[in-house]
Amino acid sequence: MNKIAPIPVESENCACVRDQAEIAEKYRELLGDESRLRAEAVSRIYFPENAAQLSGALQELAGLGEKCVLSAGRTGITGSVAPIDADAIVSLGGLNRLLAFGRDENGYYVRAEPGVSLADLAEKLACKELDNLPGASAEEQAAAREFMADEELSLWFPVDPTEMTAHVGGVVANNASGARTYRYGSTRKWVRGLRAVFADGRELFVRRGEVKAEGLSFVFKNADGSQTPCDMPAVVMPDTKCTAGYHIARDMDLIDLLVGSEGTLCAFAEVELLLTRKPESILGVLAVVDDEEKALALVENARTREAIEFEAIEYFDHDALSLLKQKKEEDGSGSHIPEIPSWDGAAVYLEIAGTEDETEEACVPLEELLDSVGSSLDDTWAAMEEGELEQQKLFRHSVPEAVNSIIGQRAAKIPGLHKIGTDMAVPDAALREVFALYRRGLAEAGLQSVVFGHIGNNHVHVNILPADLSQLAKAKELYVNWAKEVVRLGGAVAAEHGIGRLKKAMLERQYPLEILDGMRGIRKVFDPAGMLAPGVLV
Amino acid sequence: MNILVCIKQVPDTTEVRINPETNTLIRDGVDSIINPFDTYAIEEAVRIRERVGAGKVTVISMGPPQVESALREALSVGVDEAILLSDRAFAGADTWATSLTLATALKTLEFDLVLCGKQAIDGDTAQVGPGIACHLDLPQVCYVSKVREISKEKAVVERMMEDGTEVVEVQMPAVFTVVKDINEPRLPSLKGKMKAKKAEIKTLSAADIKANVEEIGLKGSPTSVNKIFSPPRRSGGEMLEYETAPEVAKNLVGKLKEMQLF
Repeated sequence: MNKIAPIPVESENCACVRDQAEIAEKYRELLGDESRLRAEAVSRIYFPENAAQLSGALQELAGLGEKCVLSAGRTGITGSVAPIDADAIVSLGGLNRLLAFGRDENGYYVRAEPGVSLADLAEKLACKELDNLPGASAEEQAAAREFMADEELSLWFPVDPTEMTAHVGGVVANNASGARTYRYGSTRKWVRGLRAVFADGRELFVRRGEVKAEGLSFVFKNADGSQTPCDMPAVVMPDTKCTAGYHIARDMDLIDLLVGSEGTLCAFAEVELLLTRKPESILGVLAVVDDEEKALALVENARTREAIEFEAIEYFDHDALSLLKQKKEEDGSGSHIPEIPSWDGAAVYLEIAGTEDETEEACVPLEELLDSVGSSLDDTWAAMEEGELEQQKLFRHSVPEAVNSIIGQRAAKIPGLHKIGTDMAVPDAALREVFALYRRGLAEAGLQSVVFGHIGNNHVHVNILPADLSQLAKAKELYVNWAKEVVRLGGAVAAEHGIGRLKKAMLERQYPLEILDGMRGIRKVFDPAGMLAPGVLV
Repeated sequence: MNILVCIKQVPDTTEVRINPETNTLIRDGVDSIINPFDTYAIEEAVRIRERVGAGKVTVISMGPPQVESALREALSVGVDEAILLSDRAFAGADTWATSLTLATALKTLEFDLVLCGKQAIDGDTAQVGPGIACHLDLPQVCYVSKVREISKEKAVVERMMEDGTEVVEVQMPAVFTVVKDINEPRLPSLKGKMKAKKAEIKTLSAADIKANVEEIGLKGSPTSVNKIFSPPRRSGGEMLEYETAPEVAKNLVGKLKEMQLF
C-alpha cells in the first residue's frame, strides 16, 4: 500500500501586509479576478518568496483559524481566487523562479515556482535563457546546457492555454487547456511532479508514479505513525474534457487528484511540467463554410481523416463572425481585429504542425477535406509565419473580448446584467445532438448569442448576450436545462474553466449528492479546518 | 493595367532592441518582414487590378537572396509576378543609388503605374519612391490615401496633407507612394500561400538590367551613414498647476519670456 507522508518543514516568516489602507490602495487588484467577483477587504495578504515562507504563511493562518485563497495570475473566470468568505490572501506571484530544466527517459521537463507566467516560460524556452537555474541538480544543469547548445532543438509546453499571463501554478490548479488540447490533452497529463504544501504547512514533493491510490483510497501517514485514509467516491467521470469537481479514478495517481483541485486541497510551491518538441512548422487555416451544418460535417471529416493529424480544430459561428465585423466597424482604424473578408457563413480553424515538408504535403488532403463540404482553398485565411499566427490567435481571442465589451456597455445601463457563457463538452458521438440542443433553445428563447471554441473536443462556448434582466433570467434557465442534457449525453458541465464559485450550481447537475458529499470528504482529509479556498468547488 | 510595386524587406521593429552600449540595433533573431507601408501598396495594386479587371501586378525588390521570402509573401496575397534585383554591385546603396537601380530595372519592364509605400520603417527617409519618379522622369504623387479614378491615361487620387486632403489629377504612367489609410491589406488564403511557395522568382543582376556599376551600390552613393544613435530621452517637462486657466496662461507667458521665446 502506498502511504503518503507529508513532512513538517522549517517555516520562515513570510512578508505580510495587514494595513487596510495599503491593501485597499496598493493591492486592490488582488481582491478580485477576471470573473469580476471581488471581496471588499481581507485582513492580510501574505507574499511568500519560497516554499518555506509559503509553509510559514499557511501555518500562521492555521494557528489563527483564518481562511485564505491562493492567488496566482488571477486569470480564472469562475472566481476561485476572489477572496470572498476568506480572511486572507496568499499571493504566489513572488514565487516566480524557473528552478530547473531536465531530461529523463520520458523526455524534457521544467520545474518552476507557481508564479512563473506561461509567457515567461515560453520566452525562456524560446530564447534558451536557462543558464541560471537555482534549483537544478548537476545533471539538470548539464541537460540545460546541452539544450541551450542545440540550435536544432526547440521545446514548448504544448497545452497552449489561451491566457499567456496565467501562472503555471494556476494552470496546474485548474487543469487548464486551450486550442491545442485537441492534440495534446489538458494540463493534467503534462504534470510530472509537484511540491504540495498542505493547509497545516506540511509539504510533500511527489512525482508521477510514486503515490497511487489502492482502488479508490489513498492512505496518509501521520507524524505519530497513525494513518488517515482518504476514501474517494465511486464516480464515473465524463469521457470528455472535464474540470467539474475532483478528478477521480480507481488506482489513480495522487498528482491527478491534486491537478485541477482549484486551490482547495493544497498550494503548489513547485510544479514540474513535461515539455515536447516544438514543431518546425505550423500552418493555421481559417476555413469558411456555408453554414453550421457544413461546419459540423467538416469537423467530423477532419477527425476521421488519417492523412492529417490536426493540432487544433476551433469553431466560429456566423454570429461570432458578424459580431467581430460589427466591433471592427465600431472601433474604426484603431481596431486590432484584422480585416475580415466578406465571408458569409461560419468558420472552422484547423491547425497542422510538423516539418516544413509535412505541412506543405498536408495542403493536398486539406484541399480534399474542404472540398468534401463544398468549401475551397480560396475561402481561407492561412498563416505560417510567427506574426501571421499571432494575428490569427488575436482574431480568435477577439470573439470573447467583443462579447465582453458589448455586454459591458449594456451593463452600464442595466446594473446586474451579464453574459451567460457556457463551458460544456460532450463525447464525439453527441456533437450534432448538442448543437441541435443549443440552437433549439436559443431560437425558442429568442436570445442573442455567439457560439465559438474548441469544436474538435465537442466543447464550444455558447455566449448569450441578454438585452435586459428578463432575458438574463431566461438565459440562466436555458443554461441549467442544457447542463442536464449535457450530463445525459455523457458530457461535462465544466470542461476547462473549472467550477470555482460561479459554477457550483452546475456541479450539482453533474453529480448526485452522494458523490458531492464524497468529494467534500476528500477535501476534509486534506484540509480538515476548511481553511483553503472557502466556498470554492464543492 | 500593369502595376509595379517596389517593396523592401526590413527588420520587424516591434522586436528590435537597441544595444545600450553601442547604441546599435540588435538584429540577431529578429524576423524580417515586408516594410508595413509597402503592404498597403501591394494591396492597392491588387485592388486596382481587380477593379480594372485586367492586367498584372509585379512586385520588385532589391536586396540579398533572403528577400525572396518577402516576395513570396506578396505573391500569397494576389500579386502575379515577383522580381528580385540581387547583385553584389547593388550592395551599400543609399537612397539615390537604390532609386536609380530600381528605376533602371523598371525601364526594362512595361508598366502603367508604380506604387511604393510612403517610407520604410528602418530608414524612414521617404526618398526612394520620389527618387524612382525623378530617375524615370514620371509624375509623382506622394502620400496617396485614396485612388478615386484610374485608367491607363489618367488617375484622380487623394493625397493626405497635414491640414487636409488634396485631390490630384495625374497623367499616367506615374509613381504613387501610399499611406496606411488607403486600405486594409487582405489576409493570405491557403491557395495564395501554396501558389506563392511554388512560384518562380525572377532574379536580375546589374548586367541583366544594364546598370552602370559606377552609378549604383556603394560606388554610386553620394551619402553614407556615419553613425546611428537613439535620440536622447526627453526630460519630463514642467507642469504648470494653478487654480485657474488665466493664472496658468499668465505664468506660462512669464516663463516663455524668461526663456526669450515670447
